[in-house]
Amino acid sequence: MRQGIGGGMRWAMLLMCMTLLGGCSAMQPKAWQRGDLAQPEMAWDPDPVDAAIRQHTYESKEAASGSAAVGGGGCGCSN
Amino acid sequence: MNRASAAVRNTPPRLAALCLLGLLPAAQAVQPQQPAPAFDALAGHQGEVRLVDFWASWCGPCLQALPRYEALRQELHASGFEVIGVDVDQRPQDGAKLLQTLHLSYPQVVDPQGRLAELYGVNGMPASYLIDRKGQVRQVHVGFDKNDIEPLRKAVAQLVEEK
Repeated sequence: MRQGIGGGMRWAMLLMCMTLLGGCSAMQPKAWQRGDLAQPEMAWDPDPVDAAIRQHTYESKEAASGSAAVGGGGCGCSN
Repeated sequence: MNRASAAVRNTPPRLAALCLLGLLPAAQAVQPQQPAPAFDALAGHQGEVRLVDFWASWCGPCLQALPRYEALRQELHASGFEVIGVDVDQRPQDGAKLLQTLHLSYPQVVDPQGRLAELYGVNGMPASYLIDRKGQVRQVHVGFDKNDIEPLRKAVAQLVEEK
């Protein structure tokens, strides 16, 4: 004979699953909590001028542009 | 349809209440025409037109705004206008170091835990709240551009005329 899970136990499991899933939700910092994120070392490119010069050199040497971050560039011969 | 309504009927009330609790927003942002949430520095200037400015040392536009608010305060303080700065730096020494260089004459409140920011529902930096003599929020402004100062000056000049 098949025995099902009791109603109370089912709800407890559902609640536990919801709690566990809630733990995976993104915790967005509030506007006033972004101090650490605003530090220069947190920037993708800490020195934008240096990054632009490096990108320019890369494009000149590879004879291609935009290949580092956006679609396009290169010979397009792999398709 | 019937199955869904049966599921709702069978949901224990405590669980339903718990789910509804999750839908509630954490804090409501203060809107114009609402009374300004009270704090000591604000109450100390009751009856004046006040600009509560939430700023931080790491926020670029805030650094542009601070000296301009100081100039505005110098111009209109005699008419009954005061600026109250709220430094939300989580490391208050960062804000204090900046203040040493700016020499601002208006009162500053340190809010490293963000309690006041939470109370006002600040959703961007800098955020300023223009409060009239009766304690009503009349204008909420998020962000700062140098062109914002002239409309603000006009709004303050108009509010100080109100009795």
